[in-house]
Amino acid sequence: MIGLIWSLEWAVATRRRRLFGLNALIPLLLVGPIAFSGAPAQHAAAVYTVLFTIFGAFGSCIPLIRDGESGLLTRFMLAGVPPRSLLTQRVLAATSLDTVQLLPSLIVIALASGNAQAFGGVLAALMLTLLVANLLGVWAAALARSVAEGALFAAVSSLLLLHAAGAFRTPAPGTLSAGVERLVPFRLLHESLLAAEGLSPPGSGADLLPPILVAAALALVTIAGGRRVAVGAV
Amino acid sequence: MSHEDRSALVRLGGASYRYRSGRPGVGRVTLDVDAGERVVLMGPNGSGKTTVLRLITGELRPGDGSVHALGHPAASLRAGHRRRMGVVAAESVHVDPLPAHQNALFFAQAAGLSRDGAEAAVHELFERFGLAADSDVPPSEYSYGMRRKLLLVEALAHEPDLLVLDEPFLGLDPSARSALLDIIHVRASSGAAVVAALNGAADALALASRVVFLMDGEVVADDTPDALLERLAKRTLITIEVDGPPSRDADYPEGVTVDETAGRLLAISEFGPGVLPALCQAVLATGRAIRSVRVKEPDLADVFAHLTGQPLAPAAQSEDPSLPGAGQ
Repeated sequence: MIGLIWSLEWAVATRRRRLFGLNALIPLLLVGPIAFSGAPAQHAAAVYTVLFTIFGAFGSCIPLIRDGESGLLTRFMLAGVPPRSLLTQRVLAATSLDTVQLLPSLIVIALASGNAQAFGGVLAALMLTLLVANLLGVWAAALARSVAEGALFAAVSSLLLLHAAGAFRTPAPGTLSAGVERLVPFRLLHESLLAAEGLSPPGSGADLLPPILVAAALALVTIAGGRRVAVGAV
Repeated sequence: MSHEDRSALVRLGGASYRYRSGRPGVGRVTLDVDAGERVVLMGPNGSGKTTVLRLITGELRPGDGSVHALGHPAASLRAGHRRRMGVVAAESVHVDPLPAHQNALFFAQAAGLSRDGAEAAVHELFERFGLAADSDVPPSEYSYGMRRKLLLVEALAHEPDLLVLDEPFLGLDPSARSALLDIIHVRASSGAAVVAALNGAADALALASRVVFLMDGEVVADDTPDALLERLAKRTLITIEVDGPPSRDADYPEGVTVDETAGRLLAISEFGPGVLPALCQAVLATGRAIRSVRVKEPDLADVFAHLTGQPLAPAAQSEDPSLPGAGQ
């Protein structure tokens, strides 16, 4: 039973080779031209952060809604898969799959920046971003009544949080916005991408902790929601 | 639970359910299914059969009353209890694009079987249902009947204590039907409880140790098939195709009600098929020739129509006329 849903998600993803390939290629088609175009690093970092976040949120939300509509989620639960386990394994599998599919884009960004050694931190921040984005996608699916609604909820919530994370502007120090910015997990990816371009110093341990704690809290709340969240997507 | 309660694997206590649109699902259904029983729910479309099954699996929460499955409230069954259930829903939903074999393995393992145990169980069931040669094909490429068979494999592999089956014979070829009946009877004799929704009278008779008739969301009758058929004991439908118009002068035997149309005579005998010679003589005496004679003993569909005044299935779907059910 342990890892059954995880294995299933990977088996399905690797069977859908065309989709798997497109999921790796399409971000690359956006990232490549920006990375090698000499675009200002601030703008490029914002674009990458938005792209990767939306990738994660949509990639979680839409399949969840479709599986709910088809009756597959209900089948899983009737078969004895605990809803919390279903959600946990699904989110972790999706996060790992997203990471693999975005690796080519990350490699291109690293090559274009000429600062490959900074990308260990970028990778870690990307994985955290994808985890949170996938969790957002779960909530969007739970609240939506259709794929279109889910996409809308996922997009809007992601963009709002990205704005709060300072991806589009830098809030003045000491303001409420600055306080909120410290907590939003997407900030880490944005800042690590900027740091890789030498635009801002890497965050300290204290700076890393709040968004990681927020991500952990979101994960716990989502999983604790368990059946209600999964059934909401049904 | 009391000693009597302990054997009831399914218990509905005045359960009712209304859908969001306002459509009534079921109204105050009381039903117990004990270990070893094979209960068949019969009724026309919309009578509440599927709603009852979904209440039992816990997909739906009753608006009033209670539903217990495996000794626990059905709507809040934990995963461990759910693994003791085998559910076949009306829709065939699988994990595409995984091949059928992998689908079946997944559900068998989800139900608690080890990898090796799942392999063995799935292999055997694939053989019994004739899917072995196509086990590497994804369900999206299966025919309707093959997808139904796959659902059955997934529901049966872990030898559940409670089988909840919605139209399990739909789409099955005769050998698969026979295999399914065999498996169900064996499981029930081992103590499993079976609750199935069926429209086919012949399938119900082959499967059921008890039949529950549902009409407009309510239980109309709940008894063994023999006891239900006994209500129409000797009532026999005789269809005679004749040459010639209806006759007003025919002297039909007593205990026979005749309805004539051009070329066809429907007779209901209260004394069984023994009236056939006298009936045919009466027809011949009117100067008409007999082209064919068909005799139909009452089946569960006829009992249903007799009790409710409504057919079990729309008339257009029946190959043969049913015993009319208006009144008693």
